[in-house]
Amino acid sequence: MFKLKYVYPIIFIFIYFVPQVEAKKWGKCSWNTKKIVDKADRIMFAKTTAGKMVMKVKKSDYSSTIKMKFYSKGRDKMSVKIYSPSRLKGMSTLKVNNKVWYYMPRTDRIVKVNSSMMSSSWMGSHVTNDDLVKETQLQKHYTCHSSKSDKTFHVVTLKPKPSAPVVWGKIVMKIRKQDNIPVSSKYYSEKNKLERTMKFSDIREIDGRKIPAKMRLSPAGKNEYTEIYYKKIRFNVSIPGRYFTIRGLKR
Amino acid sequence: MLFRGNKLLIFKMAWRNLWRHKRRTVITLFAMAVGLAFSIPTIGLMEGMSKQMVDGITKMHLGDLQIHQKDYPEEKGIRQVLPYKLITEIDQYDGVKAVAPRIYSGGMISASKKIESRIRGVDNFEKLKIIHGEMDRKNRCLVAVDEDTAIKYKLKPGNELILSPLPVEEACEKITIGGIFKGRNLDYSLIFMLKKQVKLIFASKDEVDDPLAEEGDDIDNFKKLDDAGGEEIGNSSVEDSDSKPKDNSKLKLGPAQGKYTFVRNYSQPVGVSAVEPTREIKVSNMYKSIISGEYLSNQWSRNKPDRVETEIIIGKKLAELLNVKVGNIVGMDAVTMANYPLDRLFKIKGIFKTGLDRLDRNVVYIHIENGWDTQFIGLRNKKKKVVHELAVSLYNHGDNSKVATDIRKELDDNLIVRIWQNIEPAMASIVATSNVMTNLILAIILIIAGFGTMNTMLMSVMERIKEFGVLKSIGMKPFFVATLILIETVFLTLGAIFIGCSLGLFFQSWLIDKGIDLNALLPNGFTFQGVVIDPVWKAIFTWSGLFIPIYMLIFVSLVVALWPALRAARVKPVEAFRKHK
Amino acid sequence: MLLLKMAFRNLWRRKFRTILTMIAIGFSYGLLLFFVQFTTGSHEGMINTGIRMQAGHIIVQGKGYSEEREITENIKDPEPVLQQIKDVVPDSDISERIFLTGSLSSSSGNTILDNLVGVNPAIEKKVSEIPGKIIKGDYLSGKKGEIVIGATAAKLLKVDLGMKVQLSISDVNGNIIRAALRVRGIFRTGGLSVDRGYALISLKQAQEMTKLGSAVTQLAIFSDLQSSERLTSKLKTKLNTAELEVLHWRDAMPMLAQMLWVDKISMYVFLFIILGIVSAGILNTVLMSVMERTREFGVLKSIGMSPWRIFMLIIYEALFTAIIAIFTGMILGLSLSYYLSIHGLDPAVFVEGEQGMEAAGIPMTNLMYSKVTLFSVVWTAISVIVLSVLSALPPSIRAFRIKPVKAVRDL
Repeated sequence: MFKLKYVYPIIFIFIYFVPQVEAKKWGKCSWNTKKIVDKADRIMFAKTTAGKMVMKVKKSDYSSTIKMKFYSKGRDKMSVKIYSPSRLKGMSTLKVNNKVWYYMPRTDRIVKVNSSMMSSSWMGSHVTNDDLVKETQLQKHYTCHSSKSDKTFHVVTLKPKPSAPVVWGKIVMKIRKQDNIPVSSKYYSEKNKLERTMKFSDIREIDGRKIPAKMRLSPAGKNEYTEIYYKKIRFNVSIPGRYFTIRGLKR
Repeated sequence: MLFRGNKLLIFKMAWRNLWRHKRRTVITLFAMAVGLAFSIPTIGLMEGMSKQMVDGITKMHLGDLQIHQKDYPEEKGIRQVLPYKLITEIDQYDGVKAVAPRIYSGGMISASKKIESRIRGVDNFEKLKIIHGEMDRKNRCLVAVDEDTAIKYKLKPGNELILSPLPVEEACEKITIGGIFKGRNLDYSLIFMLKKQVKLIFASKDEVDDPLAEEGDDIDNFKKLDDAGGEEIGNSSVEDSDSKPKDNSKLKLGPAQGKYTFVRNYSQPVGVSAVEPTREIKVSNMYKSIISGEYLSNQWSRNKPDRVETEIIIGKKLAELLNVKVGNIVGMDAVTMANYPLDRLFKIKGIFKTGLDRLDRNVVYIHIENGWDTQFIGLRNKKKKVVHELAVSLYNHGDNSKVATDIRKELDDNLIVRIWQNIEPAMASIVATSNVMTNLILAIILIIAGFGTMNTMLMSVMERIKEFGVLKSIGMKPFFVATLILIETVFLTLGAIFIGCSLGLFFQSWLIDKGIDLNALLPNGFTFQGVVIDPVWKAIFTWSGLFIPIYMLIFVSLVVALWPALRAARVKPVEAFRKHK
Repeated sequence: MLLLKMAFRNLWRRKFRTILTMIAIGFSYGLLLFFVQFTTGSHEGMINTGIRMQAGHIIVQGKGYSEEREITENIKDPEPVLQQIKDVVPDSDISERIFLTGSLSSSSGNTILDNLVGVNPAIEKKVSEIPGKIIKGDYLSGKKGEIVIGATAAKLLKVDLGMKVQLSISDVNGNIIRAALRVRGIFRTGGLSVDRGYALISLKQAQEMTKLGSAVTQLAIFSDLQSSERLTSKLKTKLNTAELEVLHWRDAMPMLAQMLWVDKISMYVFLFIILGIVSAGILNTVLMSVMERTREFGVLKSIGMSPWRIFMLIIYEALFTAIIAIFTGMILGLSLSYYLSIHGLDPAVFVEGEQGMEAAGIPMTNLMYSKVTLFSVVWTAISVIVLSVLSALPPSIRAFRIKPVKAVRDL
């Protein structure tokens, strides 16, 4: 009889080596494309970041400007504290792993965001609480569909992996060739309709890194946007753990 | 010709004929009168029920009609608004009794309770008699609490309590209830926690050289991480399973037991309705549902509303969930016009109970000025006051379609007017069904009364066939005979109306005054879709409720008398004699 | 026997009147019968819709769930509970469910779900209303990664079959958990809040996402309406009520129960009135015929007929009238009722409602059917017969007392 003992190594070889060969490609694109996308995706990523930013929200009949400080550690911990305008001053948001809390200084209340509040907008912007919390690692959830390059830009089309917990049909990223800095990301629905566009601009060197200091998110078909402008960023600084605690929220 | 000259003669004959058979006439009279006497209070009762339902529905919250921005009913967008000034215009229309403006938002309401408790350190939880939950070792901030405290503060496994004041950084800042143990009738609250954590909670530390204590530029003061990675400094984050403070030389551990205060936060997502109390009480009956405390007053401190608590009324279920009473302070945030939340402290002025779970659990009412206040919801359009909804109440519920059409004519295209039947079609269908039933009852009553009349008239015709034969043979026209019978019917009907109305109105006045007590059928009192229905069922009086049955009776008795009248008219003299020898 | 024959013949001496009376009584009885059957039928329809949408005939849930509605109030280990229920109610369908709230988002919109239910599709297909309301696609197959949503939700999210939506819910520890699901089916019940905020995923998926393990929040027991009350109290004694709550559908859906109460009471009031009128009609006719025949009765008495027999004669006449009328009415009532038991009546005919009809959170858009039962025919018939005999009593007593001499002289 054919003994299983002999079959295992063969299976093993297949499992182990075939993907290795395949992995030289990323989806339908070259392995190099993956590196480019990854680099563009991680442009802001560091062990920790701390900084100040200004968020401008423009809606059809309303606009607001909110200034805040932000602190993050890895992908799991983040805290944001508003310092302007005065009526929002001290309001903080804390995200640890999968939980989100708000701190309301005027009533000295800590409110834990529950699941039904996830779809509501964060501070009036075009970003929902959910967008804020969810992990956005392109290479984890997407694979490459096609990529083109001209003199100055790479244009990469990403499609989600079948089981990825994302709702987009595809993302088209435009990345500057010279320094791998993203220029724009376009998000399409599964019906291939453009839903939102993220534009990166004002590329500057901040804290030793070249990054786009301005990001503008605009939903398709509306004259609205949310714009974030980094006034200050420091990468890889030692942020005390309490910044990501309730004590930190109340601080 | 005979009988032609004297027009009164036929009436005289008819009258006399009726009195020839006194008993029969009286019985018929009563049969008809009873029909009428039945219909009048029945209609009164049905209309009473229907009015109570319509009243209940419209006065609960809806109003007779509502005006919105046209997409608001479906989308409920916070910016889909209409000007507050519109109220004065709407007030001018005929039939409009009152208009109430409303602003809606949503948010979280929360209340906190301080729990003073003894806290005792243990090496493990094995010796405790845990009756609910389990002590999962992984979470270092897990505690066990005694049963009485758990019941008193509604604590369940999984609930979190925040320490107040917050202890030193390395200690737990909030504890999670892991288990509830059987207390031995303690007269104090008792919490068991790992010994090490208790010591940390009572630890003290000098916090002198904290460069980050200063607000301002904390960001600039962060030290750069070196590549060796000293990342895990003072990590006491909520989720971490154990803390390893690197530098606790300055930390002086405290005792393994003592007293501490814990704060339990109760919060619930709610719908916020901002109303103008003086106008609202004219449109809705919500103020009648207050079971403790009072309805919103019209006081509004214009100066610094964010410094003092403003009034709020909440539902009974919500009060239970938040563990609050009248007079307690709650904090609530609400989505503002700019879509971000802002918060404010409120003092509970009253607690209402409508019986409608959705309202009692999820809705709160505040003064409308909160809605316009830029420090709260801030619903303004270019500084002008705007609202989400105008609820209109009318003097007469029945007018609502007409008034709605009137208003619609003058209104902007981007606003819509809807009558309550459109907003609550299910309730409308119930009311409509009961109206159909009223009409059916009325029809049946009158059909029976009609058959009674026909019976009598036919009988009297049959009896008098001989007589009619005589009349005919002396030259009376068939038309005259038919008219005679019809006039007899008219007399009967008039008499029946008189008796029936007196009887009916007598019953009705009793039903209006006393009503039918349904308490035996509905021992637990009764609300229906939040509409509180009075267990004593009372009738109401309407002119149409009186005249419709009267007209119907006249119509029905004349119709049914036609057949006997024709029968009498066709009597042939010879035949009549032959038959009735 | 002779008496019966006489009574029967007497009826036909005044054909016209007898027929009229019969028509009047028959008509009322027919309406009454139809009304009872239609009300019963439409109530049962609503109860069934409610039960199939939101609960079961009996539901078992974790102690405190009805107050708090948190998933922490769950049934930790449903297996033994299921077994105990099976012992009490052997042939019933028991559905394990998890009720959640959450939010759903797509690439172009998002919505809040008030009622996200994790279900076991194999059982739900037998007991639930939703599988029959699917307008596009299919019901859950039981595999993970599927969701069934309402038509309004689909419109708000701008999604179609097979498209991806992202679901966010809280697990037992309060963590926000997300999953991408594909829309497998879209249903339309006509109820506004149901079509917007009600969605279904597989029980497995719900248990996994919430980290509930094998726990569920509700066990819905589907047996039948009649025995549900008795079984509820039986289950209450059998199950561990320190940790579980057992609710009859009436307690689980108090709004619906109250609504039906009102309707039922008004039905009885209606019945009472109709019966009152019927008896007035009978009284009138019988009294007339007695008065007419005073002389006849006088003669009968004088030739030796006993007053009792005369009394019975009249009662028999009333009885015959009633019975024949009832048969006529039955034809009318049953045919109306039968028609509606097959074709149903659209509740929308009562109002010009522009949007979803809903009462107590239950869509009222199902056709209303009447329920033809022998029981309802029999009890209404008996009450009409009893009533006719009762209302024939005063005239009969009158005939009983007629004095032969006086009667003959009078006419």
